[in-house]
Amino acid sequence: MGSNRRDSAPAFLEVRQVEKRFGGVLAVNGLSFQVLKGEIVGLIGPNGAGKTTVFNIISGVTRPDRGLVVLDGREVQGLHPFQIARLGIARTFQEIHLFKELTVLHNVMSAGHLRATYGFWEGLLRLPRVRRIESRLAEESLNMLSMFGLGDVATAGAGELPYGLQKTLEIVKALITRPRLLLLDEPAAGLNPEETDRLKELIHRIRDQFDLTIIVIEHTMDLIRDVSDHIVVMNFGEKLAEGHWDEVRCNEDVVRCYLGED
Amino acid sequence: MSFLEGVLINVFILVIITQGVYLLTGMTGLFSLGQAAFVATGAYAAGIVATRYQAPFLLSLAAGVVASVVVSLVVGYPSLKLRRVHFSLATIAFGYGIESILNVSTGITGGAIGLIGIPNITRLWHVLLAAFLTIALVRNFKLCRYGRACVSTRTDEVAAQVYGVNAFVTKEIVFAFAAGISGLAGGLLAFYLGYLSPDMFGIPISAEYLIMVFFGGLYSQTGVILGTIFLALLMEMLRATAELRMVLYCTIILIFIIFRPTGVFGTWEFSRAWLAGLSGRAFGPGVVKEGVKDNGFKQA
Amino acid sequence: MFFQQLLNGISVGSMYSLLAVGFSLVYNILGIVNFSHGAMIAIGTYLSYWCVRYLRFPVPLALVIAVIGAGLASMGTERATLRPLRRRGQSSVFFFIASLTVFNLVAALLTYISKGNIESYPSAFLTGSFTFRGLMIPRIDVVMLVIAILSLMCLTYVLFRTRIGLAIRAASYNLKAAQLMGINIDWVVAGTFLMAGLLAGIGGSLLGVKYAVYADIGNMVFKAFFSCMVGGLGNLTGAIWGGLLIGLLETFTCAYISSSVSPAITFTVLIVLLLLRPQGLSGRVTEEKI
Repeated sequence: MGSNRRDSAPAFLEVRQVEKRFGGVLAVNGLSFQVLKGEIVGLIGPNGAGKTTVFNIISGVTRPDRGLVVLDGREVQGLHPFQIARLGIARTFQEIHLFKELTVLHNVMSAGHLRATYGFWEGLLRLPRVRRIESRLAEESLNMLSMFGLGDVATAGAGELPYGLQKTLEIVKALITRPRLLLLDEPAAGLNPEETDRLKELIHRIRDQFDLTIIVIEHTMDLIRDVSDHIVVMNFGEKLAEGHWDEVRCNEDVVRCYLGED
Repeated sequence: MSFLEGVLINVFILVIITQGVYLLTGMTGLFSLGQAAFVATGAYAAGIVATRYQAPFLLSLAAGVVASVVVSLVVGYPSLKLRRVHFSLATIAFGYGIESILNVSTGITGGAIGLIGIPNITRLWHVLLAAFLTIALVRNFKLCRYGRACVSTRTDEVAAQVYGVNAFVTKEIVFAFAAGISGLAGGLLAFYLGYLSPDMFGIPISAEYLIMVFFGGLYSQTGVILGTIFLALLMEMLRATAELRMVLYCTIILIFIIFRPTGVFGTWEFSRAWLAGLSGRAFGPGVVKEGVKDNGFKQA
Repeated sequence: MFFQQLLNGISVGSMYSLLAVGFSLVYNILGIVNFSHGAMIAIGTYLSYWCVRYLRFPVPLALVIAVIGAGLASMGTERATLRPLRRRGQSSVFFFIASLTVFNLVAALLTYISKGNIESYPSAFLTGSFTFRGLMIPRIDVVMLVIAILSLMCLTYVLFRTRIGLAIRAASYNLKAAQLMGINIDWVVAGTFLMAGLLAGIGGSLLGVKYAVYADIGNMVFKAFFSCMVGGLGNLTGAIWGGLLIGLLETFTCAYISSSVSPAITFTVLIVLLLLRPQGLSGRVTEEKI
């Protein structure tokens, strides 16, 4: 995916001049970037660069002070997270946010809240339609779990899973919502190289299979190199550089920011 | 009406009420110390409609439920926006508020003397039927997406919202549902006792409902039902010891809470799958199906 | 009339402040809403009443005994209920329920012993009043105010000048970190409950003298809870102001509107206040813990 296409194609997600201040700290400062449909964009930068804040803003967890977030031609900044979820944005968290007391299957089904399309009264009376939708959701959840190697542990408590599987479960939960845009916050953190390799393959595969656009925050550079079509580098809340891996890698500012100043 | 029937009516009215508390506290993690005030709302509404307008039994019960739900929507809209601790406080305030309204509006509620002359209509089968319906509805609710939304809101509100759960609306639904249940129980109580007075619905009573829910197991619907039956029967048995019964009752509960805080039943639920497990066969929801186990994508 | 009500409000408010500070101390350290505080209030009330009534102790001695008794009872409650739960790493909501049960238990016990009667102090020692510049001033109001101020001064001294005070303050910032720094948590928690109990004892016994002695006097804990909320839960100074505010609000609504709607008005004001300023009047935002 070359830079030519980026110039001409309309953006699927556009972040424009977004600013967020926490007390005296400017966590995100006038950040703008675009994501095209079907792209995998890597969002990188040193710790504290404001990457997760960007995710929080896109997913509605944090309200930006200024700026726009445009999804498929629609302004979404300042909406509630559940409204944004309905528009097709799903995310994982850097620190795992599983429903730890529930089973793995229940976690996925809980995440599938929007997929169960029946009303309160129908649910209360457990009409045949509800049963049908529920069993379809359960089946789909199980299939999805199996696809990610979690089929065997579907009835285990989510909190009892090893760390790597908990991270995978987070991704499954995001996918069950059938998102159009998926935000992955440090999916490889805590994984060993072998698991990281599998994760790369997985990211490509879910993009193709679920017709996704993905933004991924990561510190593991070879994952970023291998999966990203486009990379945005942040530092101190600002965009330092963007472009293809090769462009970004050679950028002086980026090198300085990662290797330290001298 | 026999003595036993009276006892059982009391017990099952409590079972109905604690189902509502289970929805609120067990599933959604909201601590309400004003639940008795919803029982009061239902009881008084039903009682007033019945005594003043000679409304029939069922209509009066419905009036009780409606009144409770309406009040819960009015109270819930501001208070559920608050943080959880503040919500508990708001429910206490509500409890006090209802008590003082009942005391003050002498013309309508009979004030501190109470509302008298409600016909004694409630029979055991009414209460059993209502309890059965309530339990069934609560179970359905627990199994549907709104029930899961409650649990995810309790566990991690931010994550729940990211999956599309409107936490505020979810809490509103649960609050109103629990209030409706309490209102129904209140109506039955009114037609059982024949009189009502404000001090029957104070905050300590709400606290007692909470304790009953904890006793059986905060996270288990079965536990809440059985725990309530047990404690309510215990209370009736202790009647022989007259004034000391509250003391004994609290002591027993305290011992249980200290030694088995997750309640007698923990998270265990009675289910067909469990029955099947007893008889050696496995079926029902929650059991992983064979064949969908591995599509060869990622081996853990 | 106005000034009398003002004094009345301030002195009652100062008692609420004491109760609220005790309530806040425990909340600060453990993040738990401790309703057993109400039981300690009632214990304080009854101990001093019994000492005066049956043992014919002079009132000051009775108050001292009541305060110490409530403090020890508070420590005992912590030892018997909270500690086992904490040791096993249980969630704090279980302590919340245990504390509610202790609250109910003590209320039931006192109802049993007092046979549900409402009693009042036999001697006129504190119930009289004196005239100052044409104003009738009840002696108890002055006593309450003075004792409240003295207690808060003592508390400040303990919190800021002693080792246990330092430990308590450290633990309220971060319990885990304090533990890692070598602070004995059991000791700190016990100390906190002791202090909370002492404050509850003072408040309970004096409120008993002022109003009446009845088994449900522990319900005052709800007012302590409200006071904490008004000031911002977890904020000690805020709790003091909150207590005063509640005391004044209550006294004035009672005096000028009606005693039976006073609670409803007070609580409505509070809820509106919380909606407008969820962090309380003092403005310090504390983390949600329960």
